[in-house]
Amino acid sequence: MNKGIKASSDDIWKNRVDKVNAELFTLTYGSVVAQLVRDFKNDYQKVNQQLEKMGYNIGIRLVEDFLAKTGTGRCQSFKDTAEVVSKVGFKVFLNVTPQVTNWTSDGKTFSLILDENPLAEFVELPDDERAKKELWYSNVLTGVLKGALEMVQLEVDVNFVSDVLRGDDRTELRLQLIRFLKDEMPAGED
Amino acid sequence: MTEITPQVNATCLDLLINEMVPLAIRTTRELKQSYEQAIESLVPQISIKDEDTGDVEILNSELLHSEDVTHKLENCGYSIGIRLSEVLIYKDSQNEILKNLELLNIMKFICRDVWRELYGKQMDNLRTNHRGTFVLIDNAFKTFQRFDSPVDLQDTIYKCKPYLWISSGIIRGVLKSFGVDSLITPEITKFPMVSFNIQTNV
Amino acid sequence: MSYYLALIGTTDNPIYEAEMGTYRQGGDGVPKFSAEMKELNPFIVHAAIDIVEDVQWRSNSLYLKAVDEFYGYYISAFVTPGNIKFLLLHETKNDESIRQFFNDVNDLYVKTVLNPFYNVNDPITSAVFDLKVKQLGKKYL
Repeated sequence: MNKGIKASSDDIWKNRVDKVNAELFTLTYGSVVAQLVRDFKNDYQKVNQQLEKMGYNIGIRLVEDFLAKTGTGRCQSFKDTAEVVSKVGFKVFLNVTPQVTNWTSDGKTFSLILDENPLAEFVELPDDERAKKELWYSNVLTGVLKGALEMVQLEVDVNFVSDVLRGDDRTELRLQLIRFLKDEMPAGED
Repeated sequence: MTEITPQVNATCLDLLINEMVPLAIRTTRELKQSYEQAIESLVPQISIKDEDTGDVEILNSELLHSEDVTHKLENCGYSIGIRLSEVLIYKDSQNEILKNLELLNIMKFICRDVWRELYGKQMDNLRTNHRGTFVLIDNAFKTFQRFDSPVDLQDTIYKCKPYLWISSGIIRGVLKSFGVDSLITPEITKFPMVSFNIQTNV
Repeated sequence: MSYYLALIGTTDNPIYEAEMGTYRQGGDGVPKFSAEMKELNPFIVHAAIDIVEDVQWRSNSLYLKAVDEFYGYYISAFVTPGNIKFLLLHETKNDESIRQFFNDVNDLYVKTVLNPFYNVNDPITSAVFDLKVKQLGKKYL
């Protein structure tokens, strides 16, 4: 099954996706983060919050494009969801495929390891020591994942736990399933 | 340089740009709020609600055309422009612009290379009075193609305008990367046609 | 032999400087400027800026080769399209390796500019940049 997913998402990426040069995307995102850092005068908690909020708004829209392009059906389990997020979601939008790993035994929490991160290309965090401790530069991704998964009835908690920009040896996102939102109306729909 | 440039899905960029205006409004709100709390203002709290669920309601904010929001967007654009210029030249060291850094040539670089990178098309028209003022015209501004207010065209135009400041900032940034200071006034001439009035002798 | 590199911003403000020694001809990579020269380096380079500005308008190329000479030291220059000047003080002429050195420093400079937290004309404080420049010095000079 996994092979099937990968082959079809490669095909979608190649043939069904309008693309732009990654630099333009990277620079645009960078300008947003730098502006927030300036606006909030290096209050990185606030910057993280705004990035997540922005990501959430992107996520709830992104998912429609995603479902339309990929024809992905309902996932049978959270394990399936994890595979789809990595091999289809990340692949089709950012053309990277993070590793899915570090499952907890209850199958409710896993990690995505981003070996490549198009958002953070060229970035060096500001010199002050706090940036390296407090800023999650790519925090928009936590919001995107929350928003997108909520639209398919999964309430998920998403956080960065490490980032190479901070000097960590890898960039890791942790996703924890809170609950299935069965039979509830998705946010933003009447 | 034959290496393939890494790419991402254009939807990512579109959605990111779409969210830049709501973000600028939220940031402005939040900063006002904390400022007011800080000075324990006697002014009654203006409704600073942040229960927005990510819908387009936020574009009805009275802050949409505020100086703060405009300034943030223009600034983001500037930051993109100054860097994009470096990328384009770096990737194309044979670019004609390097042979002649005259102002008119820099404008052509913006109309041709920069616009193509941003919007997949060239600027449609370039005019100049040959005394440092230029007008760049795009007959169908791509960012606007995604927007259509259910209210009416007037409302669409009203809500589109802030996005123009991003592009305006990009142009200012590109010019600055060649050492040219400028003052730029963007305008929606006849939706979706836009123009950028550029004064370089500032 | 010893080298002194300075990157000069658009308002003639220094944004980065480094002293480098050579590894060629049995050099140990440590710059051997006399105390007197060490103090003079920034001034010599600064004095060359005017000459560079003169030469750059007559040239189609970013690399301007040796533009000035001072007591047996040459000053070579490279000017980015954004008018950031790279100036190198060196003892022997070697246009080709210096051209390659400048080109690669320019690559590093472009990457620095792309960092959203770096503003053009700010001093470059990145340790990574410094390290890589010195590696390039080792490779080419």
